[in-house]
Amino acid sequence: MKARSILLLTTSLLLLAEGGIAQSRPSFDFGQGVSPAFEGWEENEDGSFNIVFGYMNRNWEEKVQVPVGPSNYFALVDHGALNDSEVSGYDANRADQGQPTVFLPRRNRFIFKVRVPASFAEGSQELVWTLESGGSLERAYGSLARDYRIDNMIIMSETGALGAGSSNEQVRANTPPVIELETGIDQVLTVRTGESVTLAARVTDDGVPRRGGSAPSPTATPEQLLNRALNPPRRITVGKVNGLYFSWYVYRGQAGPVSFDPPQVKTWEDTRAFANSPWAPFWVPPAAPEGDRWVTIATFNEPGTYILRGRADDGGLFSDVEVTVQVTGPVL
Amino acid sequence: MRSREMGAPARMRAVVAASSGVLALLVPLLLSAQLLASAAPAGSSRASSAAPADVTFSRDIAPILQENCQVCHRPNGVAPMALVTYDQVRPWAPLIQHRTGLKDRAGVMPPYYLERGIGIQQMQNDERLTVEEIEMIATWVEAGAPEGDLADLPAPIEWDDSGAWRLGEPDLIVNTQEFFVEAGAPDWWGDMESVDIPMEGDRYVRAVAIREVNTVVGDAANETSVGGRWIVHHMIWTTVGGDSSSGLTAWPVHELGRNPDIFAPEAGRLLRAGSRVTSNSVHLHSSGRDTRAHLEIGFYFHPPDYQPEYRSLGFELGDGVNIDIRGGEENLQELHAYQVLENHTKIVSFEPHLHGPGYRMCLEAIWGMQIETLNCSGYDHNWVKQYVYDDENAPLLPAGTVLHLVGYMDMSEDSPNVPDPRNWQGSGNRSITNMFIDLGSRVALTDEQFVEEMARRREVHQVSVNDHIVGCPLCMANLPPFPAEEPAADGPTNNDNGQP
Repeated sequence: MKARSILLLTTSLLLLAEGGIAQSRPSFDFGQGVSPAFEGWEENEDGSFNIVFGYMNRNWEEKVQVPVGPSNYFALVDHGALNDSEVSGYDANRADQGQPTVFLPRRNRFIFKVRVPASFAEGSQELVWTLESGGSLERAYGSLARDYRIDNMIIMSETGALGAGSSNEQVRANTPPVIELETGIDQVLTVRTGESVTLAARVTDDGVPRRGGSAPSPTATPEQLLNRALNPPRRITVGKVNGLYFSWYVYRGQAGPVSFDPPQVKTWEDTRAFANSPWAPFWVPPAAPEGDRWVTIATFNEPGTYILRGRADDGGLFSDVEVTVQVTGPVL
Repeated sequence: MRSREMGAPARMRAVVAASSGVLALLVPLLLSAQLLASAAPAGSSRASSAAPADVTFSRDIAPILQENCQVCHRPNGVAPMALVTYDQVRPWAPLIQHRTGLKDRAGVMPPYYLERGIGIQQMQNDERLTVEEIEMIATWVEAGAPEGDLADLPAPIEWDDSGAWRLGEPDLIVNTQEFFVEAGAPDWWGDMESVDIPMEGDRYVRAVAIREVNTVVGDAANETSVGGRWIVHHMIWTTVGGDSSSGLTAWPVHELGRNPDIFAPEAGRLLRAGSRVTSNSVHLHSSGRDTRAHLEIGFYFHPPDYQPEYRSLGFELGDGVNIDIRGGEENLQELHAYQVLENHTKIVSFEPHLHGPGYRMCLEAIWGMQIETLNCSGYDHNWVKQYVYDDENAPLLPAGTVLHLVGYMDMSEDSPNVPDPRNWQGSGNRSITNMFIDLGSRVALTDEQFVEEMARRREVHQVSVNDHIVGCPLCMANLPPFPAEEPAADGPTNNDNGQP
């Protein structure tokens, strides 16, 4: 598309406007369920397709846990075969398609992909993710429906990196961060309860999109800081503070028995002011560590198998790595 | 002095001739054989107090079509069929009855969704048929659609090329670059080439209209997509530069199928000579077919000596972060957003902006214990309509009023603009994800202007002490006018960029 790059602050004009507040539903902390979400599809160079999923956890605090099984499974079925929630399509051989078993609070977009062959385009089948939580069963129906086609620009836009929909040639050329994991890739780490593992990764990025957010001046007075804090957050479309961060979270296993040091940036859309999330008003991206080497200590307090996911996010695009940790009981 | 010459142009001025002849997607009637079949009259007798028993095409129906439909439905018009002669109209009679009978729901013709019986009804360029006209059409169809006496036919309208604009020919038309979207391309957002504005002197603008002129170049004529009559789903745009200042003027967001903006008479927006139209936020969405399009921006000027008195007021009312719409729900799902007005405010227009599942939106004003619905309207993400209040009926709300916006989302099997209503939906910028915003316009009023507006409102409506004016909670307070003051030395208070 031919276009001239003229950077305007049109969308930011909205930020100058009179404020508003909005709340669509009560703010539950615990006890609510998770809706699986079909995010879209993308075509691979070999003609196969990736069907992309995410989810919406209605809790603001609870990390819902649903192991792969009859309450968390995939099925490839004829279109409409699983419209009735009373019908089960559970097949243990196909149930696991890499979906999470720990569901972080609130909206989590573009979390994982399921690859389907090129022939998927010719048939009448659909890829259905069934998830039962919070007392209800919900499904996401993955297909190649035209309006659901996605690419990098859509990922950037939908996660809020483009504001209300602004881009220029530089942003459109954005590439995701590159993660070089020093420990744990393609191997299973083994520790005992109460022990820690050190996860170190070097993360590099092209610096696009431009870093956003700004910390208050070190010389700001208490009055100035208060005035800044009293500025009510205003956002009528999805928005995000852009800036590179790298963060670990529990993707599979149990969320509660794992702690991270330092505390990790939330990879989920915590839109509350001053929350440690790119979607939080007033959030400031962390400074890059020395040598772009991000070091995190993960401590495990209960036995089990954990898959930790590390996400490097430049605001627009992201890359993920995973580490499996086998935690055994303490020495008797 | 207020400028009052704007007014609503007569509907009959909204005559069309698609000058470029390429408005292939500007189609008011989306036709399908299935719909046509379902629209067949039931044959049941239909009580109608408003329509005479012997309704005929020549005497009763042709005038309705002339005034409301032929703007698009005429030979060489942009609609898929002409509705001028009896022979042209008769095959479509059942469908006409069906579509006009949809009232304020998606699919109604003409596409304008303001609900009756609730809130303010006096709008500029109201495109609704009257209740009597709707019943007249139904009575006529159910009686077998008789032609009647040819001598009763009104004189045919001679359409010319000036009427494709709902407000008449603009004073200035600026064309954007051409966009091309392939069938099945993913959504795209970004900048466009800026366009110089050929003007010699600064002018204040009283209205602006944008139309998408597009042509389908692909062959897959039966392909469809969400909002698929258009490829430009929104454009956030400004004018920048000019000789007088390097300042910027923000203009209302263009949306798919949108009707014109008419600014408050006292708050024209400044278009600077030598400035240019720019946008870094054009949202393109595939129509399902290879499509080329550009936008035509029509400006309507105030007289050269016009000066604004009021300040345009930017605002944000909506919720883009908490949208949570379950798939497959038969019941409508609600979204809510609130805003406290910091200024005395005249609401110039109400503009529901939802996306595919959008079904309905309501706006209410909460002044202390007094809660009043200002308006409700249906929604169709093919024709995103705004409702511009008649100036003497626009809401006049005191500072402190809480505005409450309610969106109603339809994820049932019958939802017309949702590709797969079984799937959960949340917020996002795509046409298949969701927004929930009132994109209407407002002006801020000083204490004096507020009191003056209410006094004029009482006078215009000739109210008695037992009356109530909807959308004006203090109108019956009969507040005394402010004492006259010397004119301010620094002129008007209008903010050129339309923001506070």
